[in-house]
Amino acid sequence: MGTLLAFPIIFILLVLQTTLFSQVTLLHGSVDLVLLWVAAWSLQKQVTSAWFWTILAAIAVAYISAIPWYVPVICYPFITIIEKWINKRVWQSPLLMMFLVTIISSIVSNGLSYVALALSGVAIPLKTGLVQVMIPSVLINLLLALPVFAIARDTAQWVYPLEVVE
Amino acid sequence: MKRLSQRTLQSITIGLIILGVLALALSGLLNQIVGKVIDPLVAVQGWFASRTQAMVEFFTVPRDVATLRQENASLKDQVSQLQSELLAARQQLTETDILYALLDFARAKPENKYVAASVIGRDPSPFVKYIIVDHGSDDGIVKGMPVVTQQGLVGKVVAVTATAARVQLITDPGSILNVHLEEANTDCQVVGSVTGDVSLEMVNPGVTLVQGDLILTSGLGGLYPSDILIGQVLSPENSDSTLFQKATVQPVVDFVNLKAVLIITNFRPVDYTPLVP
Repeated sequence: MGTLLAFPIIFILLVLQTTLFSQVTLLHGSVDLVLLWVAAWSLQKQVTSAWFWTILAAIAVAYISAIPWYVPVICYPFITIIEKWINKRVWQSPLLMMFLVTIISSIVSNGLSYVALALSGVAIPLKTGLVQVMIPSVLINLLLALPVFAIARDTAQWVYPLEVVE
Repeated sequence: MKRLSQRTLQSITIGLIILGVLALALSGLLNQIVGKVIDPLVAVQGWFASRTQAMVEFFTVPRDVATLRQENASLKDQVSQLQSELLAARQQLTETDILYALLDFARAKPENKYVAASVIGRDPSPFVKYIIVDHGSDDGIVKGMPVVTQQGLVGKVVAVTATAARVQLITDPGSILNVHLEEANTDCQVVGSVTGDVSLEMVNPGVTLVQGDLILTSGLGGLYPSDILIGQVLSPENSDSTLFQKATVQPVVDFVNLKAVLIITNFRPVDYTPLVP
């Protein structure tokens, strides 16, 4: 069920992202809802299908977005790798990890987008890109990290209920 | 005979009395007397009626409150339903206005064939400026078709599926188009940016840029038809140290509130890449 649920949830997130959240901006930075969900979902200990969700989200975003396809295909699995790596070290504080992963993943995602566009011939001034897009995107992602984490945690508990030991 | 005459006399007397009373009543002379008799009775009747009404209300009011609450809830439902219908009607009115404006534009340029499409999404990445529209190859849309509104140029189709298409806006940082300045009578380029601002570049230094000069597509390069309005020159940057002049542009299209567009279907962009050495 956890695997099958990926299809409707990723679809809903993409619809929300392209319609509503792409217009919620801070300067010219916008929230990356799918990225936040992948980060929050992979942080849930009971989730066993994190890699499937990650790959599906990467393919879906690569298909929908005009950004070079390899940006989400590299970025999303990178987030999951980072999380799995951090999870073994600071597992006591998942909320702290969520914020940490959000910062890292937002920087990586935006940085990679910038580099990919530069490689494809779209010259964006670094200062403009940094001040107008990257930093605001990181901040707005941080703002939404907490509610997304809470929803992902509740969904994970519903999909993968923990066994009660008597 | 004597008894009969007495009865007859009594009857006649009673009849005369009745006729007299009727005559007094009809002439209005009896009203004062009747009023004085009836007024106390009416007062008593009124007193009883008010007390009886109070008792009836005392016993029936709780039931009425329940009924009123029900009616209130029902009316509230109706109000909310009507409000949502009103909102839907207003929304439809807005969409109709947009479609009428697009229709006017299409009628004004009958040489072009158009497909009207609604904007259903925007690109998730903040680095690029693309929109997604609800018409695709099933409606004859192909890659490269120009997209306009009644105000002016929006962009071009860059990717197509069966039922949707992705449109690159002229505000996208990767968008470069050849334009013609009407008043200055010169060709130059309009370039998008990551902030969504549009600027005029590659302007010949010998040309005097004037604020408010109209910017139209030149048709050079074969990617867009000529003479589609883009915007106006906003603030020229005349500098002696630069090779070309620049200017910021005020686009005529409101890209933030873009809801419907027209795709020009009878224009085929020229693919000149095989000619590039």
